[in-house]
Amino acid sequence: MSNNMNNGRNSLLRIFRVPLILFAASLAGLVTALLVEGHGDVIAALGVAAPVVTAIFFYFSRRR
Amino acid sequence: MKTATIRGWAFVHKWTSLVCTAFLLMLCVTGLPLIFHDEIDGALNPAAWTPTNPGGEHLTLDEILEIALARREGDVPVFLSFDIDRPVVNVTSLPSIDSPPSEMLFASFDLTSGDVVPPASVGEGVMEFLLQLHTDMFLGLPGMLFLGAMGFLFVVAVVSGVVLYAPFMTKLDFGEVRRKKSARIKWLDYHNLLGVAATGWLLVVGLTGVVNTLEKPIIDAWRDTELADLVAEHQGPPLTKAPASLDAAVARAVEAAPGMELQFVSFPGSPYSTDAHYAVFLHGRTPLTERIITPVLINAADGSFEGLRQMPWYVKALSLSRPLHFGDYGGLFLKVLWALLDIFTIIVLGSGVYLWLAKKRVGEKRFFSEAVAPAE
Repeated sequence: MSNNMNNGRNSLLRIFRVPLILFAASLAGLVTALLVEGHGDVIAALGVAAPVVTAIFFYFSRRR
Repeated sequence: MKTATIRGWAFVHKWTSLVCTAFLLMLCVTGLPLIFHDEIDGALNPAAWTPTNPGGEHLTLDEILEIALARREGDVPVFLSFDIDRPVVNVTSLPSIDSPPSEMLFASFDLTSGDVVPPASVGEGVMEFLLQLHTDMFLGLPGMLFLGAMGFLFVVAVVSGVVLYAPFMTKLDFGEVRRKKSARIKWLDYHNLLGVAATGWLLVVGLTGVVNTLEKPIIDAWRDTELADLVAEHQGPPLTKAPASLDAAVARAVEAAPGMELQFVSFPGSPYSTDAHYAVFLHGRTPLTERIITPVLINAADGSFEGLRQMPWYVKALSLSRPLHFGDYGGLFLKVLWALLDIFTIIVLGSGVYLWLAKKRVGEKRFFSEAVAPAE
């Protein structure tokens, strides 16, 4: 935990950095799938997949 | 964040979650097979229907209508709609235009031959049961509105959960699960990881679910205001002679709304039309606009164009809420992701109940002091 920062603003930024990226990727994917067809659907689905892949990755990689 | 503020958000999170959890679990469990409705139907009915003359020339709509009405002598047509992925026309009729909706008859016809298309049979009853349970719990509008209220509480629970995520994570890295600590701390970390990762999807599916529960009031409002205005502007005496060609009416409607294609037709005297008009409902051709429909009124006596009205914003919002809730707009890959995120939600809901029980058992003070402690 050496990289933890307890300064208020920085701490919030650090805490929410990854969730914000996942949130944006999800929304972008969900909306893009409505706007495009064909191969675009796959790209959009990758955005929606970001939270799933991330959660599964951390489940397996951070076993302590 | 001040302790009092955290307590306030924790109170909101606890009660909004507890009230809606049982219903949300039911929605998640029934929603899981509904995501794959088409695939399950296909698997249970492997003797897939094929058109009599694949690739052959299509019959005209007037010919299909004549065939349909010949099978039900004396009936009047009410609606005509189309399957998306096969050359099939669906005709709904009534013994008379004043007959109650319960007497409606629905039949599907092969556009290449006029033959009747048998409905999918195996598993349809189960899917209908699940859909009804998921939509209104067999309680009609009150059930829908109740589930809408539960959906709203769920959205509040997600937002309060995101706010509470911060104080629990000040000494942890993203994705960290304290497996060497007690089971309740391990499950708190899973709860936080899955919940915060899926926040975007949870909010979209939750909010669109709430909008979907307002379907009946929204459609009623549209029919009673915007659509009624369009109809009232053109209301005339009932049709006294044989109606104009349906194909010509549809062609005229498509001509009046370039770039759109036919979705369904409401016949003179039916709920979405006047006594003297075909109401031709068209939709766009892009993934975004294919769910937004535009009604065009065509004079049924002479086939002339009478009027067109765009959907109001609230019906457009409802139209876009459906795919965003059901996840059926981006192919099988998106459906699989929908299912995985649905399972995430079930885990978040289940772990939430477990954490509430665990907190009651060990006491709030001890629970919070353990929850905010670092991994090592």
